[in-house]
Amino acid sequence: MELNSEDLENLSPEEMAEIQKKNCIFCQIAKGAVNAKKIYEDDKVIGILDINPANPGHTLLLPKEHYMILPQMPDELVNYIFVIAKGISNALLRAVGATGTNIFIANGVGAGQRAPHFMVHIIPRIDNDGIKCFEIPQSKANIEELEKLSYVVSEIIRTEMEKKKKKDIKLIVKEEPEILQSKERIESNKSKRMGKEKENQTNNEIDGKKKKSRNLDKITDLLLRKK
Amino acid sequence: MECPMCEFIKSGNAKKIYEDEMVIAFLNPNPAVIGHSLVIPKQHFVIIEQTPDSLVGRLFEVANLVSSALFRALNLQGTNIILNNGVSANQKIAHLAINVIPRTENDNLNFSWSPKQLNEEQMSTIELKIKEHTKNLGILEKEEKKIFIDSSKEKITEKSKEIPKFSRDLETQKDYKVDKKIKENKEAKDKKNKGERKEEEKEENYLLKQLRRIP
Repeated sequence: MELNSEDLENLSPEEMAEIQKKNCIFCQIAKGAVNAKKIYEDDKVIGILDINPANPGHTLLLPKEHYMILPQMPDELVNYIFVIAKGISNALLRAVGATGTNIFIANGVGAGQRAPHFMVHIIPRIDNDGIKCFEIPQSKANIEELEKLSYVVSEIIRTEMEKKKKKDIKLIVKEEPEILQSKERIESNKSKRMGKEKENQTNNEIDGKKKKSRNLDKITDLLLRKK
Repeated sequence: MECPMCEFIKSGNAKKIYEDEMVIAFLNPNPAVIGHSLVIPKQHFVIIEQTPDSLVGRLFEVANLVSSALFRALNLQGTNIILNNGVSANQKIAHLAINVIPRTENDNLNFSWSPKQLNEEQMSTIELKIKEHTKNLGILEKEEKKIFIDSSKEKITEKSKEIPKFSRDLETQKDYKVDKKIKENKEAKDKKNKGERKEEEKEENYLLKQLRRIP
């Protein structure tokens, strides 16, 4: 089925996702309809060799089910896929004589994701192999800025954990920073110290789920539009 | 010499964003961009090969949680999750750490590599070599489930015979509720694999040694 750009514009996100799923090359590979160099396969995940490898042995590990980004995947599968990733990393050390591995994930086009199917890159490395892109640059952070951000982020995580109600995990709750001890003071401090922008963030926390899905939608939308 | 990462956590200077019994996540004081977080095990592990399976899964679950939280807290175009495993792979500190890096437009970060060209024959050779080493993968997961489901002792013994060599991970896994019987069986099995394991340990030690050389 050929679609022109105008048709694509008029499709709902659901329809678009459906079309993309059908056209997803990695779903085809998972089904076995398209050939690939499979190095591992079970009922949930499949590991194939990247045809444009950073190094010989560069493996892509993907869920058979179509997910675009990591946050869409259920926890059990996330857990499982990385245990397998560990095993493949281990196998690469032996099989291609690597002395290290990079495990790399890009969530979203802005992060360098190229295909609309979630995947884990496992890249075998040896000394002086000429790959420079995994040297993560460093800078000095503003301590106060870190303090504020850590509070906002830890609050989001705490609410998210409460929603999930994971009983087997004992969360150790971060103490509120002194500057934010009482609720009134939180408000006054926030408007004073954090400025309007940060206040917006607190509002975002409140209609959290909405904002989250909107944000994720944006990212998946970008992927959808990528042909 | 104490691990700088372990010390940093103990010092209380870490800007924590998540903490449970096994895993801790905090904002990197030397970030690539603001919001750059590290997810690390509390117990000292250097590379992923040392880390027990259950903890590996848990670490990446938390990385996912952190990644989603950063999406909401900052206005992002995406996130990168990167684990540099070994000195050759640009690991800088001898403590396993997953980087969660927020991405925005024009952030001057670039994690893309230039592809190498391999011919069909080279690819096929590599495929075969790797396959040889991935044969037993994933079996542990299935066996673990069976052990928990089957309550009768006879069945447990039977199944535990099939536990592959990856079960060595269980030894280091403190919270793993293996009953004595299984443990005994496992030990017997382990003895058989001892020769094989020694080889593996050598390799791991090599990786660790490299990391220890970092000042």
